[in-house]
Amino acid sequence: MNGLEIDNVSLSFGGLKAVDGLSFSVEPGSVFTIIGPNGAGKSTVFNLICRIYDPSQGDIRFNGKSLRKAKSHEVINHGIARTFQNIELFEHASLLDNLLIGRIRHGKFGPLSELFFTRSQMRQELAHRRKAEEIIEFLDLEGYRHARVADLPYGVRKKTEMARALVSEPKILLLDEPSSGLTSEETDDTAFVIEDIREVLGVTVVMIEHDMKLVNKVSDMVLAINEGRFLASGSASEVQSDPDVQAAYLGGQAA
Amino acid sequence: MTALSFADAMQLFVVGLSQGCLYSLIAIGLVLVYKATEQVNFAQGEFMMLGAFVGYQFIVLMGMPYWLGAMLTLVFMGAFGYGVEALVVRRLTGQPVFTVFILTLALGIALRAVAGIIWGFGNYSLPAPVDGNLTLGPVIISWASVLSIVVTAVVASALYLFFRYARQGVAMQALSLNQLAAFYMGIPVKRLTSSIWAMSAIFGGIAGLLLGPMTLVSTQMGFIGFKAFAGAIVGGFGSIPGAVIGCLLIGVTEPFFDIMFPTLKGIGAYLIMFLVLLIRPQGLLAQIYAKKV
Repeated sequence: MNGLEIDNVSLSFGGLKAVDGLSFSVEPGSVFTIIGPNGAGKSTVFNLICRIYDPSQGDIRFNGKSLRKAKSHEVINHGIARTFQNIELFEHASLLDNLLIGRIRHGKFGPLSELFFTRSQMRQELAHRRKAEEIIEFLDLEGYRHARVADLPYGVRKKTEMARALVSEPKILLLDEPSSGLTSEETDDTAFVIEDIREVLGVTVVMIEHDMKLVNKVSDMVLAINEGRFLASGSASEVQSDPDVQAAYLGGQAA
Repeated sequence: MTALSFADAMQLFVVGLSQGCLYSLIAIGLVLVYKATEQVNFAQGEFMMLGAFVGYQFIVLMGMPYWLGAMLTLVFMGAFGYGVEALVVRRLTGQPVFTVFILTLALGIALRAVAGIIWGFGNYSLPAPVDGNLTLGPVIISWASVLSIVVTAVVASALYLFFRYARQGVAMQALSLNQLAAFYMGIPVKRLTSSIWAMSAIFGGIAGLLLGPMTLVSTQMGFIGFKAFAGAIVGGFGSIPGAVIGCLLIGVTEPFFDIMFPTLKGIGAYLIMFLVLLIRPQGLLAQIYAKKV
């Protein structure tokens, strides 16, 4: 099938089952949100998709192809890009350089054409720069092109990370808490950006998010997990009214 | 203190310059690894010693033509550096920095012992690739010294171009800034880290082949690495141009210092390092940023 499939995946750290027989699938072209209390295993699911961890059982497939043989640096070649909860940028490089690194998987030439800077090499680099400019414009980052990332405000750095993922031209974008640390205006802005990512760029979005206002606004499908296990899935309002989900957030026993 | 004639001063300057270039080659290897991985390879001097002994094996013991032997030495050093990272150093990823410090210190001691067992603990002569001297007015400089200056200049500029323009070079810079992010951008972090150690060992090998003919090849020749270390610190440890400048500064001042203060012979390099650390602790070309926590 098309899209991202998590098929009965488990992962343990010693005695702790971080993810326990979890299955779900993400329709291409949708916004899919994973919610759950702290320690529910949400980021672990991202790290499994990105091959930081190898599942102890189950399979992860993207467009029908298993990712289990991929090394973590090869995941992006499948068209999967991500951002991090705490921002992982190349802090001492400029915003533009960060985005151009995002193009590295599209670099096709060897050291000789780089050394002599052949015409086709030049055309390729112009294309990379155009793509970077396209995304800079898309995310309103024009004013920061040459600024050192470490000097930028938090909200802009968050957007920069999203931009770096987008210039790689992914089919699917994993966003780990896109609103954390943002002001409420910036969070509203993020909602529009996510809608545009899906509609204008045609990129499937999988996000982990705590801000329910944002979740309600953008999600086509919501999955709630707790202690690494499936709790509920459906529309945002269905999941929020689910008694198991409410119990998990309040810390009580499921009804 | 003895008064120096201009000709003597020029002579000392040129000798110091070629010595500083050899320090630079070792220091470039140190800084390369440090920049990419924040690991300090205290065995870099011993990498140089190994390069000299392997060259001695190919060229003197096996009688190969010089340039063939030198090429094979560098190929061997590249494979050796790659292997040291992939098989040994990588196991300490994520451990505190001092574990790598102790590991490379031990590696240096082990390399000295192994080289001694294989080739002996004496002094061995390695032929220079070029013979004779160049006479510039009153200054006489051996072609071997000229070669070490030229080679260092070529290596330093090639590295500059590599990091500035080549995709692999840019990828190495990216991984030195953020390994996790580099992984996700599709950069093969493990392979590149091993390649950086390979490059660093090759530079050590070049330094060994150049130094061998000047000082004789021995298990003790790696201690010159400490002066390269001082030079790298003077330059601001994370900067390649800084390391070259620092090493040249130490190389050039050293012979003057030794002549002026014969009783303090050999410690000039460390005095300069001490002064720089006192006045400008971040080094001449500061590259190390405070890490955000």
